[in-house]
Amino acid sequence: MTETLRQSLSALVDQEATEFEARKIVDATKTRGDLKAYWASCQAISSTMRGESLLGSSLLDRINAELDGVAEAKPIVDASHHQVDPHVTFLPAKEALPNRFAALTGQLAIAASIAFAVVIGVKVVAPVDTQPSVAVAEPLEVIKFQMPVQKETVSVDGMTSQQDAVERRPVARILTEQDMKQLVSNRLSPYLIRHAENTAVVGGTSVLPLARIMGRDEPIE
Amino acid sequence: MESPVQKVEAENDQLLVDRARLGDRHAFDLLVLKYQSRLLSLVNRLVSNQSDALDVLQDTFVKAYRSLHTFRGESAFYTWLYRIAVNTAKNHLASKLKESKDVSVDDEATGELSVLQDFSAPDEEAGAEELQRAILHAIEQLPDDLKQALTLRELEGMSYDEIALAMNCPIGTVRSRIFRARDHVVQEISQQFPGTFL
Repeated sequence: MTETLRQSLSALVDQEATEFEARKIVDATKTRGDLKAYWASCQAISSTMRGESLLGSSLLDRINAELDGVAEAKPIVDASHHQVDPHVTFLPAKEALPNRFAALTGQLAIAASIAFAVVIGVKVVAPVDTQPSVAVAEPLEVIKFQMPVQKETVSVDGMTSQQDAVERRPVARILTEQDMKQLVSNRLSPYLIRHAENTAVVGGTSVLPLARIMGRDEPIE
Repeated sequence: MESPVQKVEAENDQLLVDRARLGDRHAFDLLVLKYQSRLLSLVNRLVSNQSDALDVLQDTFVKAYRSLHTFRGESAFYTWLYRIAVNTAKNHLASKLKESKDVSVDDEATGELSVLQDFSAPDEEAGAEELQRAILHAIEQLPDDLKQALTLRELEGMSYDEIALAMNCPIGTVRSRIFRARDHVVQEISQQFPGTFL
């Protein structure tokens, strides 16, 4: 190590080095261990003169060991109290970021597998057709209509047997508003009555569906 | 109000912090070597023994390294380290207290207080004291102009400008005298304690 470099380092210890000198020294420490040792010596002189406790390189070794992910046996501690097998490699003090990422990914993979299994299981165990027996007894009809201006086309379609489906044709006719309301009322009322019956049997806690039925049973104005 | 020396120190520390953030561990080593003794004096007042103090100090620097990205430079780096050290010492004391309570139950049966024992190694402490004596002795042996310049810098905290005024000499001479004083002491230590510093 040249005298110029040592003098620059001494000035850096005193915050009197130029910016160029500071950068040069910091760069040089990457490759020169003796420069770091000289820095440590200068700091030790300062600490001693100020009456501070002195530390060698042992603390730095411990810090670097921990940062490198290896918790070494602490030399300060009495060996009789902390027996450490020298062949044992300790886990890092804190889990490294890649390990945490891997753990998270694994958890997500497990969660996705469980969700997939549940979906498949539900499809196998419970088929889609879950219509109540009452509804199956009669063909389910879908009513499509538009509010008539002058002339309307009403298509009545159903989900009955194939024979019924062949025979069924769209019916085109002119509907008045009164006819349409009557048609809706006729279709809707039986469903609401069945719903009320089911509610009374299954739930039995409310008379509200009956109240609705009573309202529906009256002709729609 | 920040003095010019403090401002330069903040800039130098920031340079080291920036390098350390980029993964330059040597730059962080310089920060550790710079502040370890100062922090140890602080931590020694907070915890019961030297061994605990070193543990706290180690945790402090490790936490600091892992949290360097949070250092904004709004305060001095030492102030930031100081806060980490105090919090770490508090946590250490709390865990120690809990540990000692747990152990005290067993102590009734065994009659031992192993946790409360001081684990500090006498050899290491003695070595540090011997080293300090050697440093002070080497400083005593310095020529008066070198010793005076070094003392004004280290004990009085004067800047090179102020020392130049006090000693009535150019600032370059001050810089040279302080360097030669340190260099002489380092040579002495290296001969007496080879391999002490890294």
